[in-house]
Amino acid sequence: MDKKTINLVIEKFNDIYFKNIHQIIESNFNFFDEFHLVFPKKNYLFTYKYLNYVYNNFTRIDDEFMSLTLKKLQRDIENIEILYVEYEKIEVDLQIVFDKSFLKKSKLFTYMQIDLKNLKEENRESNREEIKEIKHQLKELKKIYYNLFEKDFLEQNRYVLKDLKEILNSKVYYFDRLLWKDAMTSQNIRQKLLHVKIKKGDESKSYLKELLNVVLPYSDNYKYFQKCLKVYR
Amino acid sequence: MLKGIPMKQQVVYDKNDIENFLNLTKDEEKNDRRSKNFKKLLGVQKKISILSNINKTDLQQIVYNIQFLTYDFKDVIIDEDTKAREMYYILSGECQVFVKNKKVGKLKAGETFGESAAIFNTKRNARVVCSKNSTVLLSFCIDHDNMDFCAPALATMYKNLAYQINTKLEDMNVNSL
Repeated sequence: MDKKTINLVIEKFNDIYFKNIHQIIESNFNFFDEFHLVFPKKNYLFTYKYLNYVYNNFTRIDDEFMSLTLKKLQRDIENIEILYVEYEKIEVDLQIVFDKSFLKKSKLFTYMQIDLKNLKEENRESNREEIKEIKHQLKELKKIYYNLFEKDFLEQNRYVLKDLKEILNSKVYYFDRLLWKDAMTSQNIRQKLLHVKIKKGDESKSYLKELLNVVLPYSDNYKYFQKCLKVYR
Repeated sequence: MLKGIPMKQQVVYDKNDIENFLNLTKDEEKNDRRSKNFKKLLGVQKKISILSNINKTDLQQIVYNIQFLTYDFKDVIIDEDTKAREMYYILSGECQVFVKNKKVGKLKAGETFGESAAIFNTKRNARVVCSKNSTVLLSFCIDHDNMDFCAPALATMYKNLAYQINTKLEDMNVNSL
């Protein structure tokens, strides 16, 4: 098999492997395009843990403050986040994908392995050299395939991660805005925030500043909140 | 059949949800319109060499803390050996530059200073003192941390800075001949 054919086999495998995630990414981008929703360039994704912290605080004050849209958005973000983590993990588990998925789908490898198995089962002295040769060929072929597979697969995976990150970032941005909009419709939350200086349009930043005054300095949360403040500046 | 990673069912948004999202963006646009300081920075962007060729949306994301500052004669704007993240553009007036109490230069309206310490996060290498009453400056900071979403804009800025440093080096070489 020449390099071009191997590449075609890999390309075909990747097309099937990434088909579903590509569809999800495309439908998300189409949704954003259709309604002219924004893709902010600030790293809102980093602040998601903080926003969940705020969300939990508000839920303790009024567990019915969130709109249906906010609930949906939270579920949506969680789903995409799971996907992001899974695809991030693939980079580490690439060998597993190659061995367990790619090789199993390769006809050539399957035939060679069947040949090998048959020869072994025959258990004849004359087969020894042939077994050795097939084993060597398999090893070499695996190496060639893996190198080409790694390059193409990782490239596609990186595009997937980049797109998912962009989608997540935008959704977290809307989550941030909607969280405050919903919170401000709750009388209990408004009452609780009466003595906190919350600037309209800059709610997350103002609340973060207040939090930094009460959270224990040098705790993990404190350091994280300080970094979040950089995002909102 | 190979399917890759299993997917959960996608969340479907209805008309109400979309309206909610769109209203949030409208609020954000109103906020943008209020940002007079950013508009002023946009107006002088071409004159600030390190910010050239960066589009409006990207610029908005990488600059922060944009302020108008007014100084009077002898006011110290930046001091030698101090650390700060602001860089300045002189809108009107004049400043003088000192290194170890020795005057080394003059800065006029339309010129910038403070960029290298702000970008490289190092100590200021000179003291800048206002030399004319009511000198107006535009100060701003650059967000270096957001490489995930602002990498092209930051790359353009670093390229501009490299170009600026190269021009200064060439000038120094010519002057030393």
